[in-house]
Amino acid sequence: MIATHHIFVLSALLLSVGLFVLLTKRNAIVLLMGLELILNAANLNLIAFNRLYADALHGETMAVFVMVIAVCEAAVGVALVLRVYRHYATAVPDQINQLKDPS
Amino acid sequence: MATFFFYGWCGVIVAGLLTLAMSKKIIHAALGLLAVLVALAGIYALLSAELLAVIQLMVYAGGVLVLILFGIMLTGRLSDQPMRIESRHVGMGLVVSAALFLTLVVFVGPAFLSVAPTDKPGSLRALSLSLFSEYTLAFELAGILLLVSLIAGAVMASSRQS
Repeated sequence: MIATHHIFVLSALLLSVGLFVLLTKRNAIVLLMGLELILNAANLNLIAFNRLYADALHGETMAVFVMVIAVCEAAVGVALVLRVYRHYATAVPDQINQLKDPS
Repeated sequence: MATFFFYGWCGVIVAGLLTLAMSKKIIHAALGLLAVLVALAGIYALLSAELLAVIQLMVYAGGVLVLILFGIMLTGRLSDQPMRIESRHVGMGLVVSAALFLTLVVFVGPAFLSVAPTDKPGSLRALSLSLFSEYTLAFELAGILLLVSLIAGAVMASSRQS
């Protein structure tokens, strides 16, 4: 039997590394990867805590819908990155500064 | 036995996370993400959530990752050099994420030390029934959301100027 505590620690690790990737990387595609990590951390928690209740399945059902949302997010996100890349010829978020005050 | 496999998959996840967080080559980062997603599918199977394990493999490892690889392929063609991932504020990011991890593990984690998971049997049949009875509306709405995001993705990525 796998202890819920250990799964929680693993999920916290996934969340923290996802946050680290989101904070430090300078490439839009890698930022999307960090976002997927965070969504997976939430999913792992939903499934692990669902095991505490013998005959309820709300957690696993919720995880299915989280996956649907994650797929939509990835599809629209990659399309947005492609669009931005075509316009600015870069996928580095820092160089997309057209709205920045030039002074 | 299950515990042994759990820690094996945990090792794969940690290796994948390290690759994703530290690699300078974007393809290596994507492969690290693939390792994490596949190992998570293994853990879902160990937690007797077989349907979610299969969905994880098909949707994440098969769909989202291919999408991300296409994104890498289409945004990396400016130069012949392999695309490098630049990092900045690494120290700050490390401090913030380590603080989040320690806060969760030290202050929230002990609440789950005493809870005992039930020995759930496989949930495929019950989960399918619940999706098509109790959650029918959410299921249909998810279908509409998928259609809308399909259209949005196609419109955003098409090169035709309107």
